[in-house]
Amino acid sequence: MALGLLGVVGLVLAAAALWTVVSNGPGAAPEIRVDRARSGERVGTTAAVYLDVSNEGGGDRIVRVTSPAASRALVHGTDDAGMMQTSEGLDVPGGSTVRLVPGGEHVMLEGVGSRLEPGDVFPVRIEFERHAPLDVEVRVVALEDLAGEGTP
Amino acid sequence: MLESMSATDAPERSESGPPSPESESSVVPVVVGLVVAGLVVVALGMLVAGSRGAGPGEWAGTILGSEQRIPDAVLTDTAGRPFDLRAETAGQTTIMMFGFTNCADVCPINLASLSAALDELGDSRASGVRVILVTVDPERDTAEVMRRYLDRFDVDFVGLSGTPEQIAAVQEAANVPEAQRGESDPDGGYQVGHASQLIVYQTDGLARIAYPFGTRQADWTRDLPRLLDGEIPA
Repeated sequence: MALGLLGVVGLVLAAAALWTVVSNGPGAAPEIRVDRARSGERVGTTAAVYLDVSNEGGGDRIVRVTSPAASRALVHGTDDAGMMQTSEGLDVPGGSTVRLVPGGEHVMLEGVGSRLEPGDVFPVRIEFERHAPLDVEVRVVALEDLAGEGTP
Repeated sequence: MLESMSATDAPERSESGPPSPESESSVVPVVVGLVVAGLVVVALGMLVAGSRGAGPGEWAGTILGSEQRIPDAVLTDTAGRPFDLRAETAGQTTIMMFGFTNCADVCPINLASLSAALDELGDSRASGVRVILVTVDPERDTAEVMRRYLDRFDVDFVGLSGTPEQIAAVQEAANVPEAQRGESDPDGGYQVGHASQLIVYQTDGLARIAYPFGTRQADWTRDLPRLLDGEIPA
């Protein structure tokens, strides 16, 4: 019984792996979706945006983020040594979901003009190397409510 | 099984080009990767269950390997006055963290969770807790900048700065890795990588527990009264 279940799980994983390989070869077009876009409240003039970027097609890369709510948006990630760095962009490999989460990679907004209260919504445009730009709505949540989700 | 599936499915699905040779050979690594990822998720789940399981008597923080005395250092507070860490915190429960005000992610979430928990506990209990942020970016975090930043969370939070040497010494004494300044971006801005945990020194000046980034308001409201009552985390 347990072995049978394991077998089924194995098959599902293998099928998923195969689908991943087939649908995101180097030539395939990126198929990108952005979910769960959220930000903390503004602190000083900055705020951090977190989101999930899913790519079911070929590999791509976020090259720029802009928002009318901020004078500048920067992708912050960690380098090989685990240090937080401002990076040029963010890879979104084919067949993957890249999750920007509290305590990890995020989009830092600078020069945020309005307060950003929990419940507020503001737009962000994400530009990719290959995929067409995506406009997403970011929902503001209380900073303390971001604490629980940061660690897996 | 894998072979036959790839043989029948591959030509149909790769409409944008013939399947590359690497695609076939990468099935095994991908499967192995999935299994490894699954194991990692399970392991992380167990870790989280360990730190957050929090039945009665358990702690949300991480018990330190050995007791640590609060660093013996004199820094400068946001009023520009010398702040002798040991003398000023004697007999108080002190929560200390390192950070900087241009930190948009870890620092504000840490401070907001703690501030919300102290609000929930009420003044009578919160007044027994001293919260200290030691900047790891003394160049940009002037007294005024730090005060304005901390007031956003709690006007009673203490902000401390010093020379780079003093700040490095305090990190060493607090047993955390020294903060590292990242590369400057084209506009001259930079990030500072730093320890993200909050260290709790009890009324005897000793720390026995530290709370990792991601500690929730509910974790604090459960653990803080016990720490304030002198319970020894073990």
